Amino acid sequence: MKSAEKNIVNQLIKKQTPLPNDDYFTDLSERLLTEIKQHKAPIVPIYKKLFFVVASSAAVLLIAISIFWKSNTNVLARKQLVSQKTTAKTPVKVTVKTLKTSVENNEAIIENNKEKTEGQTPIPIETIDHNSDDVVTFESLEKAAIYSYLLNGSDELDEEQLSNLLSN
Amino acid sequence: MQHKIPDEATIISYLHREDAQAQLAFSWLVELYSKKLYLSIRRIVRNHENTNDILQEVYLKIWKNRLQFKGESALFSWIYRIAFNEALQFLRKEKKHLAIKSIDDPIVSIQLTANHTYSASPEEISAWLMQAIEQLPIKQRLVFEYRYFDELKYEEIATITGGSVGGLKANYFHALDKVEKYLVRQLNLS
Repeated sequence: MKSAEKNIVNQLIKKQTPLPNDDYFTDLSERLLTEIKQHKAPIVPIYKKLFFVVASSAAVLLIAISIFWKSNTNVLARKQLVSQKTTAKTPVKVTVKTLKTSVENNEAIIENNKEKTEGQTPIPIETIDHNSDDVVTFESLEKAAIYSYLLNGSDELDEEQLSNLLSN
Repeated sequence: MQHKIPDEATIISYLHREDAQAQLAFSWLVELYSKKLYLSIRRIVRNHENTNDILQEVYLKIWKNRLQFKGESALFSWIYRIAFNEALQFLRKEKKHLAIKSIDDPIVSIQLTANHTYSASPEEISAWLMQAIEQLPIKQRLVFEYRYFDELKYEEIATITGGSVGGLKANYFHALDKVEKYLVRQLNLS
């Protein structure tokens, strides 16, 4: 390519084709101003505001943590079992956290309590099924509560309440 | 009606105020930029009818998003970028629907320098130039037009189209080379 031809684009003098006449732009301006007057100031919805998003996320997280905590706390579950007198027909499972107590100790405690409740209907302890190391299945909530009391002790029950439970 | 338009910082601060003052600032923007935007959009979409629709849409977007503009870039860059995106979006839609409308006369014509040695007429060369530009890939075309016709700096083009200055320079020189070759070929044929 010859050097004169090489810069052909730069040799050209640019000339803008005339724009639409001024009436067009005046008209455009009027139309736009009319249009924007119909628009109100943009309102930012509350859900778009950052603090709202952060607060709601934190609340959801707290609720989730508390539910998880409740469902996994042995003490709470035990208290709940003792306070409720239901006749659940389906087996009730109680998670026992401390199983360090030997079987002999448990039996001794059970025998001791049997003496205390002589004359009353004995607890059919043979119906207690050990499904695993941590979970014991009971026929009813009352039995689960008594077992829990015998195994772990309870601040909630005194002897009279226990005998009432056993007589039921 | 001619009246004094304040500087950019004042316009921005007015845009962020209550409706009446924001509307005043908006009218300044229309006065300042509508002709430049018209040319810029028309060079992309090629005809008046579409340019008119897009230009209105661009200004309405400016109005709706005015509170989001915090002045991180120059006001004109922000406005050009909105126009650029709207025009490109339009082109993509047009491509999808295969409804390419008629192309008006080129928005830019050229004159030859006094000592030109070409046998072609200015009209012919103008038409060839536009044909050459038309054949460029979209990115090269836009960079070429912003640089050649609007005489924008690479940094300014970068804020509108995105991309690095180095990349834009490469695009421009590729485009220039292709346009030169196309024109020379046409001139030799004529």
